[in-house]
Formats: sequence, C-alpha cells, structure tokens
Amino acid sequence: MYINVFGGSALLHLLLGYPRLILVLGIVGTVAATNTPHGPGRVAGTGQYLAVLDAEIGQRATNSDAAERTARQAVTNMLESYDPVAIEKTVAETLDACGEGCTDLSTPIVIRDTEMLRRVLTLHELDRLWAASQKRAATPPVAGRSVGK
Amino acid sequence: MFVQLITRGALLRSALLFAALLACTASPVTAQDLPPSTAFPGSFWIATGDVGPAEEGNVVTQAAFEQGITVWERGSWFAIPYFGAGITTDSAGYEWNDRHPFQVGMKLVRRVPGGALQAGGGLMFERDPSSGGERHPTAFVSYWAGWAAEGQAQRGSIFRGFPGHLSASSGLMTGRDPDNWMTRIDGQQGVAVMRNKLISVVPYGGGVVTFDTKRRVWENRVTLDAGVKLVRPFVGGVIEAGVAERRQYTVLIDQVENAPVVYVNLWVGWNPRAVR
Repeated sequence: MYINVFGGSALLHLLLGYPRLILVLGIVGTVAATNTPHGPGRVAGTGQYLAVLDAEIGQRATNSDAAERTARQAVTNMLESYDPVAIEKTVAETLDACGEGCTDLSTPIVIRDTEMLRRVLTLHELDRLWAASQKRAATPPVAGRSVGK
Repeated sequence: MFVQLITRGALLRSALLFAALLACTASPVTAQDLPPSTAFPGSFWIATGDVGPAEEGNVVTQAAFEQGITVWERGSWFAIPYFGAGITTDSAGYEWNDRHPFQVGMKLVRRVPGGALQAGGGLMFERDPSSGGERHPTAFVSYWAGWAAEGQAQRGSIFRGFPGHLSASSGLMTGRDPDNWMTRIDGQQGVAVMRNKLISVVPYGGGVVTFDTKRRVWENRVTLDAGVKLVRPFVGGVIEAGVAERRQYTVLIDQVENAPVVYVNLWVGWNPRAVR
C-alpha cells in the first residue's frame, strides 16, 4: 500500500542542504541519486544518504566554497537587478530539473517566499557551474597550446 | 522590489571569478561515479476503520510491515528480495478477519512518473482453513501512481491542490484462498480546499473494483466512496483520517448497500543506503 505523500517540499530542501553535491552531480544527478522504489526521494533515509554522498564525493568539488560564494553573489546580482521574466524562467527551470519530487512547489510559491527564492536561485547557479564544468570536460583540448610547443 | 546597487565593475569581477572557477573546478562526476551502495527499502502501514455495508458496525484494523534489500538497480529499475508480515483483526471477532500472514519473495520494481510498477513472487505463510496448508506460492503485479497537482492549482485556482491516486494489483494474494487469483483496481481524486502547515482538508470521491477467478461473492464488488479527509504529510510518510459515505454493489448477488465509514490510515516509508 502506498499513500500519496503530498505537501511540503522535503526533496528541494534536501538539495538546498548539499550545495557541494549540486556542484559535483548537478540537480538532475543528485535527484537521481535519491531515486527509490517508493517514490521521488522523500522517504526517510534520503537525507542521511545525501550526507554520506556529500562526505564521499563532495570533496572532489575543489574550490566548492569559492563556487558557492560566486553562486550567491550571482544570485544577489540577479535579485538586485530584478528581472521578473528571467527570475520566473530560472525558478521554473530549477523546479523542472528537480522533477516530480518538487511538483508540490510552483513558481509563484517560490517567488512569493523571498528566502526560498534566494535558495532556489542559488541551486540554479550551482547547477549552471556544474553544467559548465561538464561542457568543459567534454571539449577536446586545443592543439598547439600545450606547454613546450 | 530590489534596488539596483551593482556597478558594472562588480559584475565584471563576478564574471571573471566565475570564469576562474570554471577553469579550476575539479573534473566532473557522473551518476555512474557514485560510490556503490546498498539500499534497504521498507515500509509500514496501518489502516483502521469501518468495513462498510458488507459488515456494518465492524471495525477492522490492518497493519503490514515490509523490508527489502536492493540487490540490483539501474536507473528506475530495482530488484528487491523482501520479507513482509501483516496482521488483521476486527471488533466483531470474525475468524476471516483474524489473519497474520508472512511472506518472503523477490520483486522487480520500475519507478514510473508519480509511482511504481511492480511484479514479483515468492512464498506466503498463512493457514488455509479449507486444506490446512500453511505454505503457498504467491505472485503479483501491481501499479501505483499518486499526484498532488498543486502546481496547476496555484495558477489562479482557489483550491490548494488536486491530490489523487490510482492503483491496481493482481495476483495470488492470500493464503486463506491460495489458488484464487484476485484483482483490485482503486482510484481516488480529491480537492484540497484548505491547507496550512499542519493539515490539508480534502473532500474526495473514490472507487474500488475487485474481482477474482474463483467467483467469491465477497471478492466481486464495486465500492464507491464520497467523503472528506484530513491529511498530514511528514518526511517519509503521511497520516490521514476521514469520513465517507460508502455505496457498495455486490455483483454476483446483485445487491446494493450504503453505510457511513470512519477511518485512519498511516503510511511510513524508508530507504536508508549503506555505502559499500
């Protein structure tokens, strides 16, 4: 027997608690790590697993503190130059990446809550850093630039 | 509204810092690089309430516990050996409601949007009063999906969500009737008319259809509920309590009955993982 667990936003709050994991896995990757036979990662035990993952692989995100600071600064910039269309789009993208575990949150709910908005935008910035590092890793090195040539 | 405070120089410094970080962030890790782990999915539920018109005035309590270990997983697929134990009792003391089955088995679970699809089999241990046998093979397929639809509800609606679920299960489900293949289809749709941090108030309508291969009178029914429930979610589970008017059609004897029901349900799920 399963009962529909609705209300709250436990999965999103879990993600917000592990910025280093977002830097290493991205939002989609971190949510995938919480996949369970029961549902979208909101069962008891998910938080502990993310903490273990953070300890195990979070250290691979060198400069993570600096990256978090950069992400927070970018969010501050975004909020101060408040572009409602861009912010709505960013929040929608973040909730979309979070997937079915975040369907209990809608863009208007997040935008109305200033603190939650800031944190969701920070998640998006961290995810953007992760995506950029993925892209960089996939790009072959340019010939002729190696040391000694 | 926020005031523009950022200078062009600050934006440039921020962009340069971003670029510098990109240049020195560690190599990316993919989901495949996650440290291997073993998951232990389990759940416990308890449901207590009036049976309805079939046994008017009788209150039945059912509880079940299941614990598994994920021996294989890939994406949304999980292979899980498990054991489960249940107990059923009622206020009237009927023998058929005095049950304490136990089962061990293996199931394959596929997570699907909003829910899960499962198929499995194993052994169930429960006394069959007709034969005295206490060990029986079991097999089942099941589907469950739930939704909250709160996102759409926020877009101009006065309601706080449209929670509902659909489930279906089919199989050899009980040791009391071990050769009877039973099927149950269950759906419910509600409207969250009020919601605060503690509870939601959800009027709903629902229905259950059951049928079997042995053509038991009590297994071939159509049940419709119209009611209201209070729902309190928490991390890892949900508790709900409600009242409903139940209308039940017993197909094989062409009988329709009505009765009010009151119930309380609790579900708790967990999935701790141990990194190997």
